[in-house]
Amino acid sequence: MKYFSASNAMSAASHRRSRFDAGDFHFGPVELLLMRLGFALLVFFAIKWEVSSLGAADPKKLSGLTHLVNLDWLRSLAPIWLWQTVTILGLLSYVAGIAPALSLFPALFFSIGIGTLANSQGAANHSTQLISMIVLGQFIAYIWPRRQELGGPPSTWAFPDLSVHQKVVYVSMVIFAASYVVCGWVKLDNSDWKWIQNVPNLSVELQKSNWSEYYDTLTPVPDSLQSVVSMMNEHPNFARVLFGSGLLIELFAFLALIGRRWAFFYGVIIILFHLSVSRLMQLDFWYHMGAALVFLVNLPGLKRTFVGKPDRLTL
Amino acid sequence: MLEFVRTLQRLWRKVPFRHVLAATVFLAVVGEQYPFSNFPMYSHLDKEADVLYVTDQTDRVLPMEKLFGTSSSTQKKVFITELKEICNPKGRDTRDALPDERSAAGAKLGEKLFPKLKPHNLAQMGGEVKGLRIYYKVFTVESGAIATGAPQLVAEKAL
Repeated sequence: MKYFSASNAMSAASHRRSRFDAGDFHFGPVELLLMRLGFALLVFFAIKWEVSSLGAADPKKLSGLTHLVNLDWLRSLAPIWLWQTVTILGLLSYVAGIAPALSLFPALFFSIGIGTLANSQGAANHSTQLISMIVLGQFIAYIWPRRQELGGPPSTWAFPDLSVHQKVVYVSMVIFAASYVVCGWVKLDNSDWKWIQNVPNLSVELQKSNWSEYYDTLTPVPDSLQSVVSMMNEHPNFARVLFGSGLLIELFAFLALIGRRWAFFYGVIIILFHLSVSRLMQLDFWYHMGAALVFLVNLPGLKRTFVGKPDRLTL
Repeated sequence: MLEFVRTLQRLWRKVPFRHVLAATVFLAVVGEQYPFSNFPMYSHLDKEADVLYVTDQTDRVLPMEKLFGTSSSTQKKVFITELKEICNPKGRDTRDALPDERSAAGAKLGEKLFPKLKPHNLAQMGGEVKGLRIYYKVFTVESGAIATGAPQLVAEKAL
């Protein structure tokens, strides 16, 4: 009888919930554990532990928390191995699903603290924001479980139930998708909606990014650069179609939230998109690709994604 | 009032992809405040693009990342930030900067960059490096072809 009541309550909660919500993906416990493992690795390696190479925050170019607090002391953080160990222990506990909010805190602190200081030096770098935002989103989702809405058994802070872990991954996917949509929107907004029209000018950006790579490493500029640049200049409409498709991928990234199969295909498309950018522009977004692999492609859940009706299956 | 709020909540819950919509609006409004970002890379596609690089006293190009642990593109952004500080109060764009203004911005960049030099990595460069120079160069699209401007020396340091 008790089971029947709980089942009814969950069913009512599920009816109240509209589509495109955390429950739509039905991630199982093993998938969630492996997702946390993959993300924990991304978080640890995305933190710029080489703090001694950072300068003091530029007062004219402050970012985020540096408007409120001085983070310059992070430059002399020592011994680094100690803080790395604390972060790793926390991430291990997070992967195991034990007190995840508390155990994510060291990673959250160093990811945002060091990242903010690094981005307050007079130049913004965009390689780690996505990971830091997802850590922040996960932290908030863990400390603020909306168990009434999800209708599951009461969660505890130390051992959140499956629905809380599902919600946390959904939050991560939302942040991922929104990051791409806003990136596409900004292209249209900053260019007065002339971005596609201006695409042939991207040839000079290709020239710049390839030569920047040379000036960083002395690796010779690829021979293919000249032919790509010539192609863009000689066939501007072809370039518009080619690079315009990249803009569409960004603008429609929210489609990844339709369901598991959409997430998978969108994840693959985004990874291919970044690989082509790496090849053409020598600009690598490894953490973005890693996040797409963990949360969208979701290799451990492939069988579940493609066998049967994904929203009916449970692991 | 409560009923109105509930109606709004009901309507909101019917909006497809509402969470992505809310997050996108948030990121667009907040902009560049780490960890938040609207990811504005390559949103302005101008007809010109610029690079910054480091050489020795004989103008032999040296690897920026190995010598300073930072990238050429990052330091170019720092340079442009300094240049904006000089040009914008005068009502001019950085693209219209005078050589003296570029040198002044280069000097400010040098104050931040040169202390990051890794002597151990410099010693591996071979040859005798007696000084470091920073050059600024602009690429331009002209009539469907890319032209490379003459590099300008913006900072120099004797070792």
